[in-house]
Amino acid sequence: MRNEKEKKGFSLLMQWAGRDKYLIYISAFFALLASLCGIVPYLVFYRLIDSAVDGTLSVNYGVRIAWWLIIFTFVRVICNAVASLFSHKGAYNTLFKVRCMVTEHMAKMPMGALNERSLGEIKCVMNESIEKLELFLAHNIPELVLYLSGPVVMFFWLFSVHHKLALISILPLVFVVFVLAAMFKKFFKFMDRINLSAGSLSSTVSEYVNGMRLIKAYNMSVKSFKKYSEAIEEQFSMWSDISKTTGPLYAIYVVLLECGILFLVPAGGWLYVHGHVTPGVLLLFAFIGTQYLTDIRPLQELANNLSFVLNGVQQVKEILDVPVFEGGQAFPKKHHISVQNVGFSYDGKVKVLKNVNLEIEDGEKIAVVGASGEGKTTLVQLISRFYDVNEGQILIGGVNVKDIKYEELLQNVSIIFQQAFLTRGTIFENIAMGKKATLEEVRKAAKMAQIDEFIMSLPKGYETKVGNFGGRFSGGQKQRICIARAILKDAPILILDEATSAADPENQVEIDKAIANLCKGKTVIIVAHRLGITALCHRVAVVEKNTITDVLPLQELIDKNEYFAKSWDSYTAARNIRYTAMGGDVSDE
Amino acid sequence: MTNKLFYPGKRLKLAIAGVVIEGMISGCNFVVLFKVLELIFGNTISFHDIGMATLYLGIVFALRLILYSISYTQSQIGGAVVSKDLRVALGDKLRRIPLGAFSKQRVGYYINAATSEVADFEQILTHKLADIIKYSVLMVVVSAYCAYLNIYIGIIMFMLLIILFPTIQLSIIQVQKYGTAKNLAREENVSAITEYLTGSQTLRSYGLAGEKNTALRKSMKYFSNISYRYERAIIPIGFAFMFFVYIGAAISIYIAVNATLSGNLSIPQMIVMVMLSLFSCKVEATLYISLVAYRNLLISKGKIAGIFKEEEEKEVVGNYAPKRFDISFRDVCFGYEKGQKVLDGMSFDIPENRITAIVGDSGSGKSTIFNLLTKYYEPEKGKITVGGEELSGANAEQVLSDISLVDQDVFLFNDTIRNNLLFAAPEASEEEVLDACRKANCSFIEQLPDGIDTVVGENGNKLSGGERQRISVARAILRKSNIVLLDEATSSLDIENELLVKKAVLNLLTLGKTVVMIAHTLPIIQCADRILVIKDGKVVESGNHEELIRENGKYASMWKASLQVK
Repeated sequence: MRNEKEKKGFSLLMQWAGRDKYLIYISAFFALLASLCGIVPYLVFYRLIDSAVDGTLSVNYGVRIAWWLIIFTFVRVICNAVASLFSHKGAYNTLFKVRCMVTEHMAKMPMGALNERSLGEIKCVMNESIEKLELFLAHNIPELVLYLSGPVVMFFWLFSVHHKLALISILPLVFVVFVLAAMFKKFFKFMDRINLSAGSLSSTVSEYVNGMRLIKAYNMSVKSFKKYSEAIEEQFSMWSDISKTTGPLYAIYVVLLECGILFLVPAGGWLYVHGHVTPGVLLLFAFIGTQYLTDIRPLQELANNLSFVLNGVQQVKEILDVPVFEGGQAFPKKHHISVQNVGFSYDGKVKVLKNVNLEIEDGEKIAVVGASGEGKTTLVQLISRFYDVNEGQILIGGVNVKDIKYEELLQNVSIIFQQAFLTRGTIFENIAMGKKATLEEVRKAAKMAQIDEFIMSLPKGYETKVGNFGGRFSGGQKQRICIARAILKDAPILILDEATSAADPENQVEIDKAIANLCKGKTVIIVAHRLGITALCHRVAVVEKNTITDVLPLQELIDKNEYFAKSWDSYTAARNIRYTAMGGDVSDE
Repeated sequence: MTNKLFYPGKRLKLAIAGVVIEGMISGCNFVVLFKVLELIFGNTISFHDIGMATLYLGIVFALRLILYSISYTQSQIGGAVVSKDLRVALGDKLRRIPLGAFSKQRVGYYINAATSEVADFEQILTHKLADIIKYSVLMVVVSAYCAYLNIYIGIIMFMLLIILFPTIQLSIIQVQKYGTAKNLAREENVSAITEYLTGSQTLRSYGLAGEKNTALRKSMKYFSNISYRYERAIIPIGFAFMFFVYIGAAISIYIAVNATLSGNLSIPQMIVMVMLSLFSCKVEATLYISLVAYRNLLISKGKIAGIFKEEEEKEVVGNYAPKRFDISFRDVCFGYEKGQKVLDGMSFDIPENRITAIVGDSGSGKSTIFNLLTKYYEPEKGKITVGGEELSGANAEQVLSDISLVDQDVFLFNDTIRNNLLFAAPEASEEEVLDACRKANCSFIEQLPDGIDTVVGENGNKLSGGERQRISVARAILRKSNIVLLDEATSSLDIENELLVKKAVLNLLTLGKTVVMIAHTLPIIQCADRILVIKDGKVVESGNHEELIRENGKYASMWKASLQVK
């Protein structure tokens, strides 16, 4: 079973490598050549003994043998170097390809599949898991060939010299298999404890370091340090237990690989004394026959690596297996939105939305309000097709969003987030964002976003690199740059996910102006956290109990919808809290 | 003193000695085989001799089996001891490092050092060190033996051992030269990938995703190329070295053959010499690989040692114990980096048992004031006092024992809610704990499966942001610190939670302590006793709301703006 799975991982990796797999194959070939050359020193040794025994040893012969050794070593070293260079070339090319494949696939994935958690995972895969494949492609493959073919080639040569002794020489393998099996069995029994202890060590260390400020404030140094050292103590006692049970077995494995000598010397000696073999054969087996098996020792480590690497392949595969949205028609000319009987669940069990209906007219501004967890964010995510609805349908301009080309949908529905994203490029590049815009156009957008003045005050103006300067922009300034970008892009449908940002009041006024400019003439959906913003919208939709209960203009809604009326009260109450030394007073304004 | 931690302990030293001795014993095989060889060439060998040889080999084998089992196991345990001691020492060191060092990036570095770097370092000790010593000793013994039989071959062997060192040096130089470029490319690539992933939504909606993002592709391609170039610079060194070693062996063989023909060496001796030359080639290869790995793994040691060298908090002898809790800053200057002036000669007074608010544009240095008050950082110039006593004469623990900090960044221990509260006030009674929860609007606790004994998860991740904030308020209420630092912390909350947190804070304020708060919205501090307006690292205005409005300066214009915000 396990073998089959491994083969799948390997052939998948080769498939990803594409033409670069030939570099890997060439590398394996040269590794094989190198291991063939590897028997030359032993051959030299054997020949020397033979000639010494039958008295044909001469200076010329010595010179010839020395040259043999030098030439074949040269060939071997070159083969090894070539194998290593090819495998690295192939490995790094493949790594690049796999990284491109993942980013390309991500570009087609539903946005919903890229939520914050999986972004963290993808980041880990892109950086670490893929980098680990290098170890396998560049090192393990040629090493595998080398370590496996070396002893095999040696065995065949020894076999050709003397069948029986050659067979005796592999006797240690039989013992070794049992020892290894016992070792792995014991080791796997520790698996749960290893995972548990590793988890507890890292979370304890993390708590100890992250909580240092509080630890000092609460004078908990001694106590926290105790908890920390206990986790370390447990880690230690676990490794000593593991060492005590598996250590001797590993040591036995290593020594046992060389036990052939105990059989080859008596067997070879018996054959020699009875005249069945020459002294050369006896010595060959006594010296070499006992050593060549030790070359397979690294294979045990290799096996450990292998599961590690294949795990990486599996992680990449999981990303590539996420289904993508493909095909579809152009984005419609009209932009009214119609949500019809929509139901949705993330996990197929808990319904986040059910039976939702909402009609938004072309050019209308609508606010969506509701308590957290009731599904208001989910609703706007469905409109921009982060996920596909389970029931009902969502139409834009009369066309089902599922039938619109996904790329075009994303480009025509602008989503403005609380967190402003800037690349490390220049401010100009950040506003133009892939569009061939002139400085004039960019500045016009920046002016509407209330940020032109600030940008012009920078020494390099629009050519200022965000990368070096980003840290000095305030949140409000970054946000306005993003709004300028959206203004320039001019998408017909806007979704604003707006939380009360921590911007100072003056910045907030500018941001509000910028957003007002952005919204001109667009169909706008605002996920409102600051209820005050609802006053600027045509209508307000209330999401409660996983559905939309009312869609009304603000004043009517306050009168009619109980939940909203209560929220409005809380909102006003929160706004009107005044802190004083006596605890504060809630004044009615 | 700390350097001692990196050296193997007694157990590990013995274990390494065991491994080395085992290596030497394994050399006895050659002695036995040499005897057999001499008998063969003396034409006197009988099956009895063979039997004896096998017996000796068996004894050697049994000895090795026992010795190696013990030493290997002990070396593993000895390595674990080193890890343990290093980690404990690191933990002890960390609590003596000034709090300012615990920035977000630095924290990751510390965690990494105490977990994986220590593990990597242990690997060198348990795996490589014993090998290196064993094979070095073996090479010296073999060379000496060869020199005894034939001085020229001995010299060649020694030379091969010696050229190992410049070769390693060369490879280190190459690693440093190309490794720096590779590390830079890796960092750049990681940030390009991070940027791409964090911005993936924006980039896609602007048609800059996947293949179309040439910047990312270029960065990945560059990293791929530079990684290969790095290998290309390193790989030939090892193989060239191996070639040299075999040339040495070839010359040795030639010399041995000549010596035999001229009668200076017996045939068995020649055979042993040839075999030892070939054997030493393999040993040299192993040594080279082990030494390179050893050098590379020393990077981990460097990182851990770097933490031990970090400056420690100054032990302060003064007995800081303020009786009053008014706060004053006098000409305080501070910057996080050299040349940066976040606070630029800041002076102000905060009255005792009153609410003082700090306002100003983002980035004007408001939170820096908190960082200095809590002794996370020390001012470069100027004087900070609490109740007339200077902070510079106090330990962080002493200062913090009078302060409760309530902000957005709530840290909770992975323990029950009750214990999290009791950590803040170990003496508090059950009644007081429940009362604090009530006052902090922590009604959600009742709905949790284990109520107040529910474990909150790593850093409180089983609770929502609003819940964590209310617990932090409860903690502050329970603690009754004389100074409360408040960073209006509701911007990430929804309406319901915002009201609950604000009401909780109101209850905290009834304790009547000295409160300093950073305000992001102005109405809430309209009734504060004193408002400090910060701009460019200085206090530009101060007074109460009415006074500041009358002044018609920065505060007045902020107030005007805040009225426009819906």
